Amino acid sequence: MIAKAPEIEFRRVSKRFGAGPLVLDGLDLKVSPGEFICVIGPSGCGKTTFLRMVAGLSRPSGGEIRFDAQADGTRPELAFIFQDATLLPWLTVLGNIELPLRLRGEPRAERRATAARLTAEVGLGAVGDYHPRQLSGGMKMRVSLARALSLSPDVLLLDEPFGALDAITRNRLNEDLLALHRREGWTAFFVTHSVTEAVFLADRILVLAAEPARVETIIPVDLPRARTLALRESDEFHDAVAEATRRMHSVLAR
Amino acid sequence: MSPTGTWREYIGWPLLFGAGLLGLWYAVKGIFALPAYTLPAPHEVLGALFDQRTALARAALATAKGSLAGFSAAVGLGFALSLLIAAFRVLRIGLYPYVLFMQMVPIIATAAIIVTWLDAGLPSVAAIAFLIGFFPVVASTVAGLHSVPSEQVELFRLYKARPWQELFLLRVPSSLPYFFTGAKIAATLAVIGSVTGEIFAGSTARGGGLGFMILIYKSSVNTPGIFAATLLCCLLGFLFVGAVLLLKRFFLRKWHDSLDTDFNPL
Repeated sequence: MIAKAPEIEFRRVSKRFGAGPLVLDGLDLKVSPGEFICVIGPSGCGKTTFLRMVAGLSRPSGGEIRFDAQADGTRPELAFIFQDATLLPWLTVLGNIELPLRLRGEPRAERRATAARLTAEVGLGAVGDYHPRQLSGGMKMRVSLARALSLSPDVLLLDEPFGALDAITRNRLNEDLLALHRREGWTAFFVTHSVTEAVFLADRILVLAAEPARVETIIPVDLPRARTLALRESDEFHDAVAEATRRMHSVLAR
Repeated sequence: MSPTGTWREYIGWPLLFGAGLLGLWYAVKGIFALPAYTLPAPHEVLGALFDQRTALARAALATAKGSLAGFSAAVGLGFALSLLIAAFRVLRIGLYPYVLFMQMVPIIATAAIIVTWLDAGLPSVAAIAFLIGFFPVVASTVAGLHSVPSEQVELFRLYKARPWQELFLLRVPSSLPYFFTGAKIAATLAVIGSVTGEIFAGSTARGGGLGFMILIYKSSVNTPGIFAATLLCCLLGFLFVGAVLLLKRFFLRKWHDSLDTDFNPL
């Protein structure tokens, strides 16, 4: 079930709020279908704004974002994962996961079946009838992930989704996220503060800078695509993290 | 149960303090040598409750009817108006300020007017109970309908939810804790409103009610009777609030955290 992920092209995309300063300036980027892009940079560099523009929650002040070279702004199926799991507390795990399908008017039996399958896929098969207050932070994020996948998205937008979790939970979620990505082939934009996380996940790392806002650099990650937790122990991974950190510091210090 | 105590404590201490307050009551009465028509002793109040049991039971039933009718209308119509206010921006801007304003109207004044307008029986009593509860329900529910976390609203917009879906699948469930807070206020006020109405209707009242009994006892200087009728008003109010809290528990217990504080504020 490889999705029909689009090619996404950013042309001179910039953003300012009202008469304020630019929060993003002249972003040029071409993203291949199924590519995994991590976005990294200091607070206030426009990472979240960038995601919100891809999602269509916010409009660029200048330039344009094209999906499959269509200028009319038609968007592929997009799913957003917020910093907070943003679950509805009165719905069960299954109820939360099927919510997007319910909003689309999908018949009850079918959306229940999809939700049950996704619940198992993210490793929550045993807690489908629980309410969010009964779940740990990591489990809530898994529900949020499953909900985002319920519409079989072409593009997944993740805004520091695992930032509040402990390191072990975070690493496991990263690995599971990559496994899902390999299988389903959506394009991912993943905002993070952690270089290690970015190197583990990304094909390319987009480094943004603030004051003035600019695209500092784009760092390709040359690691094999099938990445597991074992990779984290390897020398090549440590070298890649060190290299990315060095490049990031050298450009951000300029 | 709260980790800070056991059921035994939560029953034992209130009983102990209750006994202490009753002792204080007897002490005040004894020290100042107060007669029953000024301050009846607790056992004299219970005596009046027993002597007048038929009349008081009938009156309590009448008050309960008026309160229940007014309360139900306040909750039902209040919720309906809240939905309209949430759905239509023009109502929110134009009408909602008056809802907040109407909360400030003293119920005594309303009672005086309603009793001159309506039949001085169940209709006017219910109308007063309704008016006193309606505005708190609307104010709380509207506040609830508009205090949905913005990320949840964005989530619905991102999934292209229709406005009615946003209202009924997001705003309404999200507002329920607020709605129940309003309903709890309305339940407390409903009995107060009914009794106020009954007192205002005075001798013209048909169907009686506890407020009417208070008037009668007052005219015959039956102070223990007034205390007994007042005690029943309190019990009635407790019954109403308890019913609302049980409903709240039934609807929210699975997902809402703040329930324990309803019965036990610790």
